[in-house]
Amino acid sequence: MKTYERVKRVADFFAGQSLGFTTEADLLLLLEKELGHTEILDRPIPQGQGVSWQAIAPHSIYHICASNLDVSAQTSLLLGLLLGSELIFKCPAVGLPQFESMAMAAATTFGKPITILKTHDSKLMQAADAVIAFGTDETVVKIKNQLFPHQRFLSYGHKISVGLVLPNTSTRALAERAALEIAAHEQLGCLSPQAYLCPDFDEALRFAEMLAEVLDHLEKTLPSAPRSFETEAVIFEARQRALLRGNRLWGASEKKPWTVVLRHDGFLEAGPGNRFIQVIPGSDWSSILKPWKGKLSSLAISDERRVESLLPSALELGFSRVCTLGKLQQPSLLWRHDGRPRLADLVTWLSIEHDDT
Amino acid sequence: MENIIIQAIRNDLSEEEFSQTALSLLRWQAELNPTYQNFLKSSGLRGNELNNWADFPALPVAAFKLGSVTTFSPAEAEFVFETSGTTGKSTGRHYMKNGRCYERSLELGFKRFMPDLSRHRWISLVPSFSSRPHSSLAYMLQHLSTIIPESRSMESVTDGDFIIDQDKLLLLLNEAQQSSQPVALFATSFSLAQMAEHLLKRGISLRLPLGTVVFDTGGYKGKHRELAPADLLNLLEISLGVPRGQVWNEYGMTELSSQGYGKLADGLHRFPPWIRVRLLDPATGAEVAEGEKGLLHFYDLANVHSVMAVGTLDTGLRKGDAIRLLGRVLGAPERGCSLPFEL
Repeated sequence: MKTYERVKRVADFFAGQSLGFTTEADLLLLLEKELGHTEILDRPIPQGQGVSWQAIAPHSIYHICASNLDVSAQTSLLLGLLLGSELIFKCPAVGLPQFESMAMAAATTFGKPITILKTHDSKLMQAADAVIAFGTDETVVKIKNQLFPHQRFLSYGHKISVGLVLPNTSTRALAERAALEIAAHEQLGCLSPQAYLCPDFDEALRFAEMLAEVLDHLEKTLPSAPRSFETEAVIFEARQRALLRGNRLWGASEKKPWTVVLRHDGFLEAGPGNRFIQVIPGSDWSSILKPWKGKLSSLAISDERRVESLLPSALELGFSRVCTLGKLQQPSLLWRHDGRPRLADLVTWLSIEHDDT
Repeated sequence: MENIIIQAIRNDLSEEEFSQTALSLLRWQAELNPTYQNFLKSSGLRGNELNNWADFPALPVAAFKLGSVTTFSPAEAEFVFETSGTTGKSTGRHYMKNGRCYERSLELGFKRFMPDLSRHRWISLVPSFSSRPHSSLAYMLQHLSTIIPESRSMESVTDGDFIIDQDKLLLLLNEAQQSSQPVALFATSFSLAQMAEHLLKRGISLRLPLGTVVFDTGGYKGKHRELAPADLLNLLEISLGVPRGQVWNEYGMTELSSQGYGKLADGLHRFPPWIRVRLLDPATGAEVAEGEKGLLHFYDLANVHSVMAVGTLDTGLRKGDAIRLLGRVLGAPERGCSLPFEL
């Protein structure tokens, strides 16, 4: 199947999914930006100086899925289908039911076998051309040690995203946008905000109060998903820990399914997700983030006009994406996950050199 | 306050006496323990306005990692017990002004729940207190050895790093096998597993004398893969010839001064009357009904100079007068599409 045919089928199959790609044009743009040409997977494309390149998609890709998010596995499925590779997914033992049924439907639509594993198969992994793993640093090292040097390996570690509420920008509309990006994917993804930093203390208090109001209201229109005992326990413990550090909480004593913490201690913690958001006052916001360098994914800024001036700080802290507050969960199709291209890192290249002499 | 608590630590403590003493102690701690006082303040509570011990929230165990949890200057502590934690994690400290309440609680609790071990030969796979002066477990065994006659000659075969001298252990166990004196073997779960696997690897299967007791203090701490209780019991039965009903398990924490005891095969632990266990629904903070899973919150009178109310991430359910432990809730999920997967 040629690339364009795959593009059409992928666009049809994923229509209506919020994966940042909506049309054939989007997918073609992604191919062009990442690989240089929309047909480069099908034929050699001249590059100048008598050289042509053809991109070679991996014959098979072994994916190790995260156990907390369907959406990352869905994106892996989309990209794998776009490349036309054979796909193997190692899912968590507890399963990713929504993703698994999507993968089975894709196998029928695309006429390609898609393997879903519940236990890790190191032989299958070692036979794959490429391996994509989501996991802790420890997990990633373990997997890497099992691979051969010729295998391409993409790993995505745990990262957090944060928002920056600049002075005089905190409106109810901003809080409403923030609440939506907090609620998306139960706040478990790397693009989920864990905290909003407010250089101005009074504004931090106002923003925390507004967030509490809008999160409470959101429960009526977009209620929290049911939670397991373990999830509730982790939220309970995070609330207790926040109180222990002398912080002010909204939502906890009222037994609400959301939590806002105004962190007087100026300390950013990895929250438990599930609508647990920290508002951190402090003019030196980059110092608050310094301990998280290397673990920062996206920075959302409340005032788009200030993006340029904040880029040096964002770069220094190691963010791989800067966007407008409210857009954290809607990355562009050209987003580079953890700062790396999503297709280009998977392919290899055939160079054809013509003798012009 | 310490003398009042010493008086209260007794096996016939009534419900009413517990309630009154607990309320006095918690109010006293709310006044003198700055960490607990601040925690109550953040929670919108004042100790002197609470009229029931169960209305006092439990201080999360994390508090012991963040700073000192004391009603006195930590510099005056006679003992500082440290949590072993897992590799790379910070250590918690329980500052003890003295050992009076801890020792009384241990002595009465041990004698209440454990069979009489005064005629047993005591062998320990727990390092000595002199080699681990910040281990509450090592201290516990040292103290037991001062109150139980035969335990005074307790033989320890483990160094300060929990490395077992397997040859010396085998010598002692062989000697024990040939005598009629039963053994009381004290060890963490990982040491028991290491010992049993080592014996079996060498093809050794012992038959220790009738009445031998294994006292499992729990914990794998990343030193051995975690075994299901049934698997550990199996290993002990095959390697030592100790029947399942003779293996006891102790539930203890560095942050507490009292312990729970139970037979490993039953999976049920009982606690003495001066420590109460509340099982809470994390979603509501309310106590769960009997048979329902809850988070374990302890109210331990023997924690006189630190904090009586300690909240954990351990889970369990109540079954009559006992608690079935169900393990610890894993910590906060990692961010970024990345919970660890099972390799």
